[in-house]
Amino acid sequence: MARLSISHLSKRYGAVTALDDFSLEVAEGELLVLLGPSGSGKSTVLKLIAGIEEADSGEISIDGARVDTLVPQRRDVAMVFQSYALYPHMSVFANLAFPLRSANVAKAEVAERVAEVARLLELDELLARRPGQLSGGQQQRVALGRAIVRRPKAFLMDEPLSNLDAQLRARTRLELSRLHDRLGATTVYVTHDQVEAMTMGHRIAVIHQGVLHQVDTPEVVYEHPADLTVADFVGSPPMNSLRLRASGQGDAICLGAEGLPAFRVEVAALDPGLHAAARNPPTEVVLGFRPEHVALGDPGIAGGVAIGTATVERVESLGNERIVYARIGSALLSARAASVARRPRPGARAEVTVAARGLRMFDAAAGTSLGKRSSAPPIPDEPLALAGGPGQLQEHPASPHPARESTT
Amino acid sequence: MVYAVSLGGALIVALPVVWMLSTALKGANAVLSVPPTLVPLHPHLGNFRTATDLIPFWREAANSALVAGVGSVGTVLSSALAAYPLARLRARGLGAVFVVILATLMLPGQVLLVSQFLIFKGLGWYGTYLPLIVPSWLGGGAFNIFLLRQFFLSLPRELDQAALVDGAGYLRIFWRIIVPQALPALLAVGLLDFVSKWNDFLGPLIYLNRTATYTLPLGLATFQGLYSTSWNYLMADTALAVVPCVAIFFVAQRFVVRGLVVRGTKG
Repeated sequence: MARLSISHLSKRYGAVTALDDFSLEVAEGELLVLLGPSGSGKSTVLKLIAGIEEADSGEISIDGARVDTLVPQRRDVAMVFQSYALYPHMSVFANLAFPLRSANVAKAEVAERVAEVARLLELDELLARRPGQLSGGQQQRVALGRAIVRRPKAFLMDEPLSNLDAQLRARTRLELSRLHDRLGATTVYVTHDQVEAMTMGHRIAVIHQGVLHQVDTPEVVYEHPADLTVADFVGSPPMNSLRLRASGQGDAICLGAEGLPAFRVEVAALDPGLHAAARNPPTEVVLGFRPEHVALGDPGIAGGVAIGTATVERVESLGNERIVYARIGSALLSARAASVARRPRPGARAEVTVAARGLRMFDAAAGTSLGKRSSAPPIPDEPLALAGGPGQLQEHPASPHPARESTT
Repeated sequence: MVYAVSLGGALIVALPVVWMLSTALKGANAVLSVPPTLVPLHPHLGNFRTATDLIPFWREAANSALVAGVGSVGTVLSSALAAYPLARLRARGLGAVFVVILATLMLPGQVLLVSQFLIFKGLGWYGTYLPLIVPSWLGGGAFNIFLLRQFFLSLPRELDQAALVDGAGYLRIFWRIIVPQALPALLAVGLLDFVSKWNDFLGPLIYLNRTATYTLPLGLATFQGLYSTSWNYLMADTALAVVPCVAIFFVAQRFVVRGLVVRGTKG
């Protein structure tokens, strides 16, 4: 397995900039998720690594050796396509054997390695079939097997689960994670699905319009988004944001906007990373907070910050919980509430309280986070070191990553 | 109504074929009898034997098979090889090359006749099959290249890309990925080319000078005048000459249709 290093990669298609000065390090054995909306350039990154497309500038190296100057065959990476791209005229066996035969591997070894992969992915019974005779999940496994069989230095996966139905997707996601733990393969996994990103990634790289916005562990990306783009894209519903005027008052910060009563927040109650910025804030900030850090009406959040009165507009029921949308001033807030709580009626007015520890601040002009925290190093097995946590609040939706075995 | 029209069309198309078969079975004096009879009263099945003896029919059929067979295989291979980069590679000037290839479609064959003849004579190929076969192996004609290029463009590009990442070179991708998917189109090109070469009269007429090397269309032409045109024997040989084309068409049609069906269900 190998270390993958991408530096200052740029790619244009005509007038469209697909990728702009993109740099990324993927550690040995790491599963890095490249997360972004469609058209963000995430698939372009994979194509450039694989050599299907050529970069306009920048370098890609694997284990310190440049590969972007090599033809695809010599880069030793494997890719799983969104459409699976199985060869329709070949049997499953021939599909799995194709990369080996391309590399002139001896016949006996081809049979042996295909059998091994087929066993691993439970494809033994299907080797004689054509891809057209397989179910979606089986096709997906064949595509995976074709990537694994060559034992490449790195895996590239382009939304491999997006063609599966929801139930199968959840199961395959788990299987993929397990497979990765077992193979310990350096993997770049592209998706627009944040549940996949949160659950599978050792680290998440958030990309938007060809620009890398943040690379960090799922927990940090969720709790401490580096800028408003990340805050807006990660999390469902996304982080609430209020654009406010700010003024520092020593050990407190005063915030307000038109149509909203001004309110004060004690610096000491904030996340430690925000202390410096809160004492000396820019004149305009965007206040961000996750829906699970918001309470509407009584009893509120103990020690929370009251930011005004909101009008309930919509209530979405998700079974185990509800998402309540409420308007405050010109902003629409979302709040996560347990289903057991009293169901608020649309049109009802309620006091909004926010947990102070859950508050994030962004520079309104630049959109960047005002919080200071050191980035987690790019090592998958590093214990999580959060600068601050949700504290006494409700459990947040991103389930923590299951304990991993050593991948090296 | 639709059936009536297509039935009428079918009758018009079938009439010459039926007339050919009918004439092939007639006695010498029944051929031009007035009024003409469609179904001969006394079918002369022996006509076929006599007709194949009057001219060296089987040798000429073998010559035709050689020219058309070797030529059409060359057409399929070389036009597919030419179409592949035009459909898949991105190189500077490739578009211009494609335009030039298409431009050759605009030239009528007669314009090229004399210069081609002089070139082949200069090469010392006059009187051999080479002028009839070699050009097929060098591109196989602009129309075939165009046809296959369009077909290749319709094949999913992701399969090429997957093969590329799987470590296959461009030639391997061509043979293992493109060609198997394009079989129906390749078969169609080969079939059309075989039939046109089998029926070609002008090419062999110009380049072949010994009767031993004559192909069937030339051989059939020797009927005219030489035996004061024995229509019944001419038609008997013609009917035999058509058989391979019809047979190939029926066999190939099944493959082509099945190929299309398989592709359709893949989704």
